[in-house]
Amino acid sequence: MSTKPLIKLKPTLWDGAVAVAILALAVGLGAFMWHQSQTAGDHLTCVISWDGQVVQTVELSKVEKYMTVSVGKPTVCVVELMPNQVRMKSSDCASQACVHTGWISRAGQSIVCLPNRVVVELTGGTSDVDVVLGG
Amino acid sequence: MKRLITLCLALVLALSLTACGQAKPQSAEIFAMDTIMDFTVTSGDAEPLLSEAQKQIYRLENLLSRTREDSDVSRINLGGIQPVDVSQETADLLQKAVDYSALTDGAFDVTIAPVMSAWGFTKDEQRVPSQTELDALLPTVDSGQIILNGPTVTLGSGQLIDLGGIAKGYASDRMAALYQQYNAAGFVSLGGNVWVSAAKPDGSPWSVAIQDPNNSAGYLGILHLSDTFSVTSGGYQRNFTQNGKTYHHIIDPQTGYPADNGLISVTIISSQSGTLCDALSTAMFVMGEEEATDFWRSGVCTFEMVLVTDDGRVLLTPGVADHFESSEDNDYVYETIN
Repeated sequence: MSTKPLIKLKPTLWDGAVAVAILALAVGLGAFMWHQSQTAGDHLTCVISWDGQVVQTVELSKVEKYMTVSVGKPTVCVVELMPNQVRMKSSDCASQACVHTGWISRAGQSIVCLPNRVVVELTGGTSDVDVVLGG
Repeated sequence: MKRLITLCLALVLALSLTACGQAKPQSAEIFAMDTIMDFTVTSGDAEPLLSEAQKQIYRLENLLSRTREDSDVSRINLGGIQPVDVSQETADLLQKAVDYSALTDGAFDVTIAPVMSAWGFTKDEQRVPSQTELDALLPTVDSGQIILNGPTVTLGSGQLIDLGGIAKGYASDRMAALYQQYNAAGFVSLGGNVWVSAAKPDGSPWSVAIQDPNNSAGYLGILHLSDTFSVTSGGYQRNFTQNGKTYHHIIDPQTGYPADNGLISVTIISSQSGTLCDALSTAMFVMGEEEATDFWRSGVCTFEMVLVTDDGRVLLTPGVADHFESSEDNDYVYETIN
């Protein structure tokens, strides 16, 4: 059996440095993960897809006043975006149901042009709605 | 050295925590049954479930679509007054449709198909049919004339069927069963026919918003639901304007004209059946406020509903009033039906 003391009771600066490093790591990683989860859905975003493929994603806060996105070559639908709402401005479909939908402004809402398979969806934002009925 | 080992162990421990936290929901979106369909899985094995869900939807579309030449429905419609053998699944769904027609006194009727065609809704080429046209077609609108015998279907003279008013609801029933089979949580929205699973990962009910029929950018309110089907029907969803008049797609089987009975939106909620919700959302819209509330009171079918009238009222059945959070950004008057 060793006669050496088993535990060095007096903490040194190196012990302090390790403790601080661990603490900083824990707090830092925690804050980073929290921040990620909070900001992931913060920005109201318009996702425009055509035939199942996303053609453009626009964070509405980055729209200065007004912008349009043309979908298709040649264009089949034109989406109009403003900082807080979007709509289908025009479409070459017969029924114009997508145009008649009007403006949408909340995450979860969408405008669909079925004949052209164009979907304009709003995601993100601070909405806690999971799904929209009758939209 | 010990300190270095300790620091490394702490690092490993801290980094391993990044694996914690909620897994991101997995989603899929397809076009089928003349609409858009969304599937979301929040827990459970998403990939195989989403793959199977899409397969099932396409299978049902091939079976039930009026616009697919070799679907069961098309074969029935091409059969004239001859008996046609179809899958038992189609025959069973048609039987349900016939039953709902009887229960709702014809307010829901899948034999409305020739009238729907006359309005051009089937081919997205809308027009206003003449009264003469409608007078010739209306006598064929009568589900009572359909003969069902096991998998054999016989239509009456001049009849055609369109299961569009019930097929998505039926599909949502199949999706619910599939999610349960895979022990998964999440929700589906099949052209607006919604099913939500038992609970969200955090145990809370799902937030299902009802579209404000008068404001495309707003909600009527939010339903807090779990393990429930819900469907909203309204004239605002599909319509066209001709000579300054607007015509919507929910045709009253009695008149052959778009239903005009004072309702602009109907939401039906049921924990039992998406098929029921789909059929009744049409039927109640056609019936109007008084008949719809009488029907609900009769207890013939068990369901909850939210009606929006054309004079600015939102009527809720007591069972849903407790789970409904009205939106503050509209001027509706909210009432509970008793």
